Amino acid sequence: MTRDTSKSGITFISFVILAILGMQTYAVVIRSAWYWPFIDYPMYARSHYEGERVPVKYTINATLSDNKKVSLVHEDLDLNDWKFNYKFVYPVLRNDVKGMQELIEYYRNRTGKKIVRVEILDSGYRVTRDGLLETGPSVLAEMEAESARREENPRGIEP
Amino acid sequence: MKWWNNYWFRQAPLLDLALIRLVAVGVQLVIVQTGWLKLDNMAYLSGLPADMFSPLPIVKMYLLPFGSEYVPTLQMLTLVWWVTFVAGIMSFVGFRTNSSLVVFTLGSVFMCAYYYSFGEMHHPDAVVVIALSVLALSPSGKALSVDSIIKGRLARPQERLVDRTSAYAGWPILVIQWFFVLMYLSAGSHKMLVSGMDWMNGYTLQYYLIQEGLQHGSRIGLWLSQHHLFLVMAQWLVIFFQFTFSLAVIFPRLRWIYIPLGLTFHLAILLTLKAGFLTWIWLYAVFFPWSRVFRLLSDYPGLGTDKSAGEAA
Repeated sequence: MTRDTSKSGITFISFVILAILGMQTYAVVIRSAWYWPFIDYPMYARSHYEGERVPVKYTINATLSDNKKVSLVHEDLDLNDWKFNYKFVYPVLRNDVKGMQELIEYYRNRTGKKIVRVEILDSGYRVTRDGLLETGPSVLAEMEAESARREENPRGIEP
Repeated sequence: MKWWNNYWFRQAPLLDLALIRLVAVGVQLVIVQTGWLKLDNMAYLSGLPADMFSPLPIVKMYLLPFGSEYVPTLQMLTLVWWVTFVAGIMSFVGFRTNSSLVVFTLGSVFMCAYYYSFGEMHHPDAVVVIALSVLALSPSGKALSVDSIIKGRLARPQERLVDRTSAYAGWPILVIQWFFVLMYLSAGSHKMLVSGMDWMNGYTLQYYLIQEGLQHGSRIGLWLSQHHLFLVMAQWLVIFFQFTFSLAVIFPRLRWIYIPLGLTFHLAILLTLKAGFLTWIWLYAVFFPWSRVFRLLSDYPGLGTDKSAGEAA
């Protein structure tokens, strides 16, 4: 110990050092962001291959109960692209019933209109050895509101 | 445990620590004042449907006194924001430095974690709040601060700023350095675990350059995406850098290679992928021997102060 240290001070700081680096090591090992600010860093970790589709901006083509069709991008729902994708696009791409129901509910609360069917479209780009190749938008997934409701209540018993 | 004390608690310059305080607090203040934690964004989040709020454990801990179902109101967020902002200003100028840093850290942690409780998670910010928390427990206000003007100068007026040291001045910088090692290790190991050697196939980086280039309008990213072989080499270099960054902490001389490489790496992804790891770029300040450079400059004839003047006094 030097003139400006104390045993209790060193013990406390040593505990802090071990706690911070220990928690961060744990987050790296379990690969989780749940214990923020101790998180893992999976940025750009997935490999990609020649010819693969590059999603740039998703569009939700929604059919309403009055048969009208609307195209929704993240700005239309007052969400940034991250929240739009994680909240609504990815669940529908996974055929996740809950995500579809949340989209229907969110849209109804904003507009008073009911979505009965959705399609998810990408922007139509692919990666090649020479860079970008434009191929045009295509439908990645589609889902009916009715099927989402049935899966939630599989026996068809009205609540 | 002599080696432990010699490593973490050896005498280190207070100037270096104070400069890191200015950098970390300054970066976080910009984020709070004009960045993604600005008051408008807090208002936007508080207006989102309650079912979108999925609090992280740390937010639940903060909100425990209000009950498990409590969702922060705009009034509460506004109060937290202002208290945090004022504490940030005090931390920056170094007035009641430790107390104000504790409040600034607690407020920053809450606002960041609240923001991330809506399903969105970004990676540049965790290290900043870790930096703030270790600075709050250190003598970071003993130089370049109002506190040091009030206390320090009166105690040892003849001592040069670059020569003032403390056994508690080194550990926060070392913790942040090792935190960088763990972050890079996580990034590298994720790539290997998720993708294996395929990650370095060139197409991976081409894919991200196209995606981010189109999303954020980066012409340089789209241009670079056409150079397959160069990107294969760049990807190998990224993996090598991320897995071996610990060498820069263990062997400080290697910093002359690793730090310019890392800065180039982060500036390149900022320009091409528009991934804003500016906080990491600023916090690279922990790898720079500030006081050694300032000492060299001040000892150099014609620059800075004359050392003998202080001794004669």
